[in-house]
Amino acid sequence: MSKNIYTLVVICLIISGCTTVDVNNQAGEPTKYIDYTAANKSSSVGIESNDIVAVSEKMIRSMLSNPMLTGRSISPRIQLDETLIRNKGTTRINKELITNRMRINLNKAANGRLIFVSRENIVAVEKERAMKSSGIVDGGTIRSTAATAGVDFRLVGTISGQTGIHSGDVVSKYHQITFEMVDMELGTVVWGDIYEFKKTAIDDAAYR
Amino acid sequence: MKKLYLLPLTAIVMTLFLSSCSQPIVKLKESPVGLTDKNTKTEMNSVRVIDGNLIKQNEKKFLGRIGPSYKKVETKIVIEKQVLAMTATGLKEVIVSIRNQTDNALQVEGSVNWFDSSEIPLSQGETGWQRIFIPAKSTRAFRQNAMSPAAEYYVVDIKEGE
Repeated sequence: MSKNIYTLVVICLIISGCTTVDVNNQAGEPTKYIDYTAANKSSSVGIESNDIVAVSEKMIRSMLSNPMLTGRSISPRIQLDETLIRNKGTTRINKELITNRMRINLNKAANGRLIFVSRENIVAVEKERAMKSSGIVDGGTIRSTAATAGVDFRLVGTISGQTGIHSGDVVSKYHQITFEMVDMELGTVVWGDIYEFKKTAIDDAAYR
Repeated sequence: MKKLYLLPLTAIVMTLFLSSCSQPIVKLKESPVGLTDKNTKTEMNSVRVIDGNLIKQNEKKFLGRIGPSYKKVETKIVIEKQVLAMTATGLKEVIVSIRNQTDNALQVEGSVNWFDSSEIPLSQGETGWQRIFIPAKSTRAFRQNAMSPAAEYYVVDIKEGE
């Protein structure tokens, strides 16, 4: 009797040893590249990649068609960086996504008609100039100047928004993105444009 | 007598056979644009409606699959005018007047491809879609200027907004 039980236990152990472990090793979903200029399929009422493309394109084209900016005999110097953009809305957004796209594409399209001044690198520039003037390094190959470039115009912007929560978990959000070019001598505004849109969806997506 | 009976019968059969082979005629009443087909050569300075929802062509056939067919064009929008203008800075600008024929507000998205004098596209990256809202039975303008002074020709793509 005990021999039969012993045999049964051994058989059970052998069978259990042969069973496969339940590991989820099925083929995964391959990564896909999608068109960042098209509307997102997710239910989001925030600022998406297609909105960033659309707003930057609109502003670039608008600035290029303004003779007070690109019609000057001497190309004006412009400061355009994310520190000059205020996000007063509730949508989380990396402001550099807009300003970098605008500055780079505008610089390419303007082809010398607009000069962009990098104030983000001013500390590094001054440090380099100090090393050159003290003779630690030589003067470089291009030029030496009395001072770094002053700014003629500064592009300031505001991102504003208003959220509405309706019955049935329906969320709507109105976005208003404005840009203005300020004359840094007179303080006047020589150019301005606005991009606004409203989205509605059931529940909002989270942005990081 | 037998031959006289066969002659009109043959004529009727032949007429029916030939009518089934005839090409459907599409009559676009007032729209200067049409749906773009595959392998269609891109016409410079043109407006293309790339969305079947905006210009529907309902094909109807008499007696099901038999007999002549005709296509009824049901357009939501009409491209009323397209103008190539110049900005104050010397860049080309295309203005397209779009009329909403429906009883509801319509979202339309447009994108412009600019070409140089050799008909080579100037766009290096994606240019994105510009959305306009057209109230019911109203007309709005879609406009976009080129970024480069080398732009000579345009092709505007229009689709329904999502």
